[in-house]
Amino acid sequence: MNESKAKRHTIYLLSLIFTLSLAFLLFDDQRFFAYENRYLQQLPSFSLDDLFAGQYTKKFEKYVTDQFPFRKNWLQVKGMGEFILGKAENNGVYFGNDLRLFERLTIDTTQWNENIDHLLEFNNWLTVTLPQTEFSISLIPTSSLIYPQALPVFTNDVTQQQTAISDAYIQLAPIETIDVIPSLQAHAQYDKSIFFTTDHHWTQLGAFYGYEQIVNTLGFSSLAHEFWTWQDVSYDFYGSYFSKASIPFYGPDTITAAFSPSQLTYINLNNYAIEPLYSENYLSLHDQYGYFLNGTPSFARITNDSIDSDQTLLLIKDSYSHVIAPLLAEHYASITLIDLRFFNQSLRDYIMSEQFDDILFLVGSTTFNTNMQLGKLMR
Amino acid sequence: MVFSSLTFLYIFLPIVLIVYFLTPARFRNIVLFLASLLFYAWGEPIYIVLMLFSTLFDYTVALLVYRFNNQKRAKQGFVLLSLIVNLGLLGFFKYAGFITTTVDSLFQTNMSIPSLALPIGISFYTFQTLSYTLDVAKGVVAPQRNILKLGTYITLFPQLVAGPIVRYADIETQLNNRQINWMQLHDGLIRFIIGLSKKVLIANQVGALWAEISTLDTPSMSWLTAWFGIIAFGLQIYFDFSGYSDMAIGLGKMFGFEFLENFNFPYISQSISEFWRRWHISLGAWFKSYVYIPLGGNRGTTAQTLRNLAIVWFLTGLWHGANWNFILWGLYFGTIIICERFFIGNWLVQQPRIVRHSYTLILLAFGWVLFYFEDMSLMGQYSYWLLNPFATTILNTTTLYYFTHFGLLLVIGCLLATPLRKKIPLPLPILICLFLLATAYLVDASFNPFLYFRF
Repeated sequence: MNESKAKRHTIYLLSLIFTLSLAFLLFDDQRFFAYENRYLQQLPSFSLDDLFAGQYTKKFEKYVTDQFPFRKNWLQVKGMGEFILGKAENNGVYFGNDLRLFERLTIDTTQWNENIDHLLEFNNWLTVTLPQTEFSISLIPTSSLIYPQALPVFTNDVTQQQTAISDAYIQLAPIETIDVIPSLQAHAQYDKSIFFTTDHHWTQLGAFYGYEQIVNTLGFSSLAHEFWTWQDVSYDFYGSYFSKASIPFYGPDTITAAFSPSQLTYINLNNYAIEPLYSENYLSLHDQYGYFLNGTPSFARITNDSIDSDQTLLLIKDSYSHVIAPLLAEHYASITLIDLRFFNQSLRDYIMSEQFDDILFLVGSTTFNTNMQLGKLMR
Repeated sequence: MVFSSLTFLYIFLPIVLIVYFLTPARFRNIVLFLASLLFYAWGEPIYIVLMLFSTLFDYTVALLVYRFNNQKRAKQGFVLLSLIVNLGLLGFFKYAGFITTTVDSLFQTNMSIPSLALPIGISFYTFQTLSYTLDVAKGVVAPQRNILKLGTYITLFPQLVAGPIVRYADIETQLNNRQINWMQLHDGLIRFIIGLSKKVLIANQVGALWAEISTLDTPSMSWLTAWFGIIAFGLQIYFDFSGYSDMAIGLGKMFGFEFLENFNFPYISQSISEFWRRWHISLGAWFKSYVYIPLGGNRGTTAQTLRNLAIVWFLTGLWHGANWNFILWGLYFGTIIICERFFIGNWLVQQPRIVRHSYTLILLAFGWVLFYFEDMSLMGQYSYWLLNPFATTILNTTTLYYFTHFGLLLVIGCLLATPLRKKIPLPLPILICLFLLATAYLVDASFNPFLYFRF
């Protein structure tokens, strides 16, 4: 290599660095990054205390990483890099076959058992205090258990999760447990849309199969699929798995929603505002799953004016319930939804005052694997 | 600050380069000195005081050593002072906690344990400043009369936090006068990109694999998984450390300094002695010059040589971290090197190449177990898994999972750890791709450890 070629190459390489630096400098900072569904680090304000505590530089580095220009593209380059290298996953999401993404779930046994203990403790209180209230529990698996044949080879997630859920049901024996897995698995033989391919949630169709099992166990008779009008509301949904895996050729998913002929009213109990049960607004955002129950309700109620029942249900839930609650609503005068992670009243007092007929604890296994603040059950 | 971060690549480096090259040559040391202080202060603002103290102290002592060159006792006194202060700082910050814990457990005392954050790179720059004073005492170099130039040497950010250990004598002329041309800038930049790729694209990836395997327990663990894991760790530490050295050497070049090489394909070695001539070369050279030879090297009786080797390897182990496993690790290599020298060396050279190579790699694998596990029971457990194929199972689904999904990465890593790497042409488009890919992996910063906090 001669001097002039060296000079040329150096200039190319340095311009590459300087261009990106300049882009970083000139581009406006973003507050919220829909693709990853999170708030980005903003430029930290300088203080000597923060500097000496090592906080300032840490935040600054996170700021540069978060606000780096063309962030989404870099994430996808990395995702493709992992894919080509033969890795099974990126950021905890498996690259499955049939263009389906899966979550890599490692069961945290300690946390899992702690959650079980909280439920048992709550049940003890409930059977003594309100013996007429029916308490039941169901855990919704991840798509790995429903479409295991599409998982990358040699993963052991299925056995791990299946064992953990079965164990939980054995330990929770004093409570009515509703295992929806076999039914979902049976339907999965011919139905590919029980779970989204790019998101962690089940679809409303998957929730329908879960619904059948649940309401039949609770002593109702489930309504037929045809009771609802099923309509595709979106053809371009890219969910949470998509953003983590960052492989551009997966997805998109179709969102199909079940429309009921009944008179359902949906109230946000935090401010008593009436909100749409299904909200079109979310379909133009990145996280389109928010379409169901208008975002992420922490405390809400669905009432049904079309039935003569006065039965009430308390649904202790996470976001997996957002698609099943509108179906369950056909059997109850009212369903109250509580996400314990965002609920700060005394749950016991609330239950005593409302005297629910049924209480259903229904969450995804991924949520049950975290500290979902079940201590609040006894508060 | 670390090199493998977007803040360094896209903010710190461009600014320093621009300021450096716009500044007239005679003020460039000031730019480097200030940039280095900023670089250091980024992680440890308080320890910048330490840096300035070291500069002032070594500057003064070296001048005094030189001044009293003809009065033996005074000169020795100053050399001793330098040793006490420099090693004292290292001892205080790095080993105080370890020593008090050890004394506590031995004598059932209950001393309070100082919990100080270890100043990053203290082991590297202490050795550098020592080399300076000792070389002045030996008459190898004249003392630096310009404190700024000495400060530039001590704080020079390219090699400040993770080596190589640059001796003052090696860059003395460049501190005074350095010519920078496009060729050097070009070579430096390319060397830097190679180092960055080694760190971000290989070390971090195999490191993530090792982070998983090292925490496995029965029944997930199997004999082959254990071996797969320790190979991953061996590759991680090689690509991380040599990548860091490459980045340091490259940056040095960009600013007009020529540092000596620090790694020379250590994993192709055919004996442990050879490995240590190819691994962290600047550290081995330092111990040889300033410990082994002053102790008498191999010129005395066999017993003295043995003693000297034992001391050097004990210290080499201890240098890597304040914990028993590092001492054990040093003594492990000391023992093997003594054996190679006095007992099996002649036998070994007669063996076929494959035997010599396997012998070396297997011993290295066990060495990395000692290096990694601070907890002795975990260390023993992992060694047992490696040694006994029937300790758990030979292989299981987890093994197959790692083989399938990390096999390609490990094969690439192994190949690139050999001189084959030198044969890969690196035209501009490839370099640009590597750099962009490294950036992408840094933007999605999932696993990017800095391994030298302990050094």
